Parts: sequence; C-alpha cells; structure tokens
Amino acid sequence: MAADSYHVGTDGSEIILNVRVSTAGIAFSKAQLFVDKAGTDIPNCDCDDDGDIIDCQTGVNTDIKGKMLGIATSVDLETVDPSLWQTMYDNLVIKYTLSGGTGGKKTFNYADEDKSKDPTGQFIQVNKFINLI
Amino acid sequence: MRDRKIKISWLIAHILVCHFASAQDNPLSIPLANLKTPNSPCFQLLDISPSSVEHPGNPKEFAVSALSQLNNGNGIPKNFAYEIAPYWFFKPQSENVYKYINVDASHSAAHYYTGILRKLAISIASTFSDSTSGSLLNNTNYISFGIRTNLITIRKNSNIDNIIQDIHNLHGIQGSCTVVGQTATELAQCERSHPNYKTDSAALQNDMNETPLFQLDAAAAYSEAYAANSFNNSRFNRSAEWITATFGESFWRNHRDKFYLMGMFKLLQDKILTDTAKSVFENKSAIDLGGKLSYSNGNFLIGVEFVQRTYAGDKAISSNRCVGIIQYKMNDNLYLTTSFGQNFGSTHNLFTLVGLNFGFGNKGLSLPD
Repeated sequence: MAADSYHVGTDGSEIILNVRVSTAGIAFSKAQLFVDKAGTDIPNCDCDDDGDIIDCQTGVNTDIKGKMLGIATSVDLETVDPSLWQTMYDNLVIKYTLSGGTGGKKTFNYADEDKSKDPTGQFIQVNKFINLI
Repeated sequence: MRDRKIKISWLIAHILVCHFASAQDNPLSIPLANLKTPNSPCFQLLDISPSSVEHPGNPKEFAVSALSQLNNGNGIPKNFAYEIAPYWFFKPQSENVYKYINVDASHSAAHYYTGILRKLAISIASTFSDSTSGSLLNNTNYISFGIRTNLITIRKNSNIDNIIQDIHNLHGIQGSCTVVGQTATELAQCERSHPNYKTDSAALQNDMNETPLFQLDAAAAYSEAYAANSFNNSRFNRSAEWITATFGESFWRNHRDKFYLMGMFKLLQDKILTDTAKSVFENKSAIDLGGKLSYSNGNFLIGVEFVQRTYAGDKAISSNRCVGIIQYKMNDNLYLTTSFGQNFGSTHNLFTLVGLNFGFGNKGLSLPD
C-alpha cells in the first residue's frame, strides 16, 4: 500500500473529500479517519447509490492534520454479466479529490496494489489511504 | 510501515466480524441461464417452424435447431438452422444488465426502445422436402437467411421499482460489510453470510425475470429453392418481413405462470407454382395475419396459434394455419417442441412436427418464459 499525501494547512479551513466511482456494478464507499491504528467513520459522508461520496466535510485542517484518511470502496458485480467481470475489474476508475487545504484541489487515483478481487471475480475492493500532512 | 499496520489492524478486525460466517465458495449470482433459443425466422419463412407466431426471447450466443416433420419422410430431421447473436461477441464494455432488460429508474418512455443490435440474431437454415407438403415442393432443397430482434420492451413501473429497491437492499448489505482495509474476498464472505443476502438476491432475480408487459419484435427472412438437388436450378422462393407484438401477464407472485396474447403481421413475397406441368412460377404478394394464445408454467408451455394467409388478387390459393404447440424446457440449453395441426396450403397440409433447439453459451439474461 502506497499512501499519497495531501497538505491540509493550518488556517482553519474545511477539507472536502469527493469520491467518484465509475462502474456498472453495485458500489459502496466509506471514508474513515485514522489515528495510529484506530479509525472512525466521518459523519455525514454517506455515499450515493453509485458509491460516490459528494462534498464530504472531513474536518477542519487543524483538527485532522497528521491523521490518515482511508477510503474503502466495494463493488459487487452480481448484476453484471460474468463475462464482463474481468473487464470491470481492469477498468474500474475511482477518483479521490481533496480540496480546501494548502495543497489546493488535488485528485488521486488508487494504485494497483490497493485493488483486490475475490476468487470468483464478482467482488472488488479498493482501499485508498491519504496522509493528511 | 504505519500504513501497513493500520491496514492489518482493520483486516484483523474484519476477519473477526466475519469469522463465524458460513461463507460460500461459489458465487450466488443472478442466473444468466434460462435463455431461450427461439425458433429461427428461417423456418418460419418456410412454414415449417413449430410456431409461426414466436414468443419473444433473449438469444443465446449460438443455437442449433433440428426439426423433423413426422408426416414427411422417415422422421429423421432434415431441417437444420444455425443462429448466432452478435451482441454477445461484440458488446461494448459500457453494457450492463439493466440496459439489456430495459430497466430505467426514471420510467422514461425513451428507454422502452431496446436498440436493434442488443437482441439481434442472425440465422441460416437448410431443409429438404421429399414430397409436396404445405408450402414446400417435392425433391427440393431450401436455403433461408433470417434476422430478428426486439424493438420495444415495456416493463411495469412496479416491476422497475421492485428491481431498484432490490438493488438498494443489496447496497445496504454492502454498506454494512464495507470496511477500510479489507480485501475483496473478505467483503464477499461478509456479504454472502449476511442474513438478508440470499433473500435480497433471490428477490432481484425474481423481479428481473418478471414478464414484460409488452414486447414488439421484428424479423425478416429470405429463401432460395434448389430443385432436384441441383445448384443450377436455384430460384427465388420467398421473402418476408414481419412484426410480432406480445402482451404477457403473470397471475401469481412467483411469476412462474405466464399468459401470453400475441399478434403477428407479415408481408410476404412468394413464388408460387402456377403450372405444374410446365413448372411455371409466378410472383405473388401475401399478407399473414395471426394470433397466438399460450400459457407457461415453469418449464412447460402450451399454446394454440392461428394465421390467415391472404394472397393479393388470388383468394383461391389463400389458406390458413392452425396448430397446437407443446414445448418443454429439458434444461437451460435444450428445448423440445411438438406441434400438431393444419399447415398452410391444400396439399399434405397435416402438420406434425418434433423439434429440438440447442443453445450454447452462458451469457445473457433470463427470459420471460
């Protein structure tokens, strides 16, 4: 796992997270903030039916600086033709965008090592971690 | 290193949650079997199909049909058709099951149009007639080419709402199982062990299989005839274009039983033998107008159809076809069909037929019937 980093600053600004998932499957995303090994859900950051998280307020930069942002996205391809599962896995696109910090508006992608599938290929899991510095 | 520790901690936490779950090894997926292999339009053009008014169906990748007319020859099949559905070979990556089965949350009328290519099937058939029977002449080979597709599929709003609700329910299960740091296998294990997963998946499957309220199919076919097994004796035999409208309804909650009311309108260009002694053929135009009423319950279907063929300016050769049809689905890849009744024409028009339809390929969606 190779975590990216985002400069949040210290001016009291709100850091905003957007997650965009492009898939034909059933997707679900969840964002959490980690301090050491403990993670807590970010309130009011529910995803929509496509697994997208829209304008999630992760917290004021002075509060979340030094923490790690973790975003889990799971995709169930049950409703997709099985012949397309491998294509869906290969072509899964998730854009993670952070804004509000000194790093400006910055979009991240997941690395290949962040993505996994179950032996059947029906389920995809992507875990993205971003250090808030 | 700290990242890895965090991830591992979440993995352990999640494994504990799902440790006692009885995860399944095999995917519990929406069955994409139940695909039917409809009778080829090539056979329908030649009037040797078990049914002239065909139920709508989602085609398999490849299909082979073998028909045997029991009152024509020794019963060994002489009629074969091969059909492919190009969609399964060339479908774009953006395709998904909801586009294919016409499910749209907005209930927009524009979504009723299936698209010509999604359910397009191309077929070729050959048959040999050793005696004059129905529309076929004796000692003649026939080659036929056909295409068919679905144009419009309309589902009930309640059916679409149910499908969407089913997906929302699955979303809920997925949400409860999603944890940062888990693997896809762990997610799968958690989802499949959720107490509602089987129920919600079965509900989605059931709602997706519900009979559409209305379907409009179109088909066209062209055939050549070769008398006396000679390529040099080739002549145009018949061509036709037709549409079939199907109203379907289920009366039980499990959607296993289905009633179908169907109507068919066909424009026909025919080459009729008008002088037997001199082998003189004459081009004739005709209109087929027919209907069919059928009932299916699970693997069994029974129906009766009537088609009136009226030749323009020559009512003397107009005729009709009235047959009863029994079909049994032996498995997802094999259908057995028998038909009995009166075929078109006035000579040897007793129609007794047994047909086997073989389908190949596991892609696609389940059928209304």
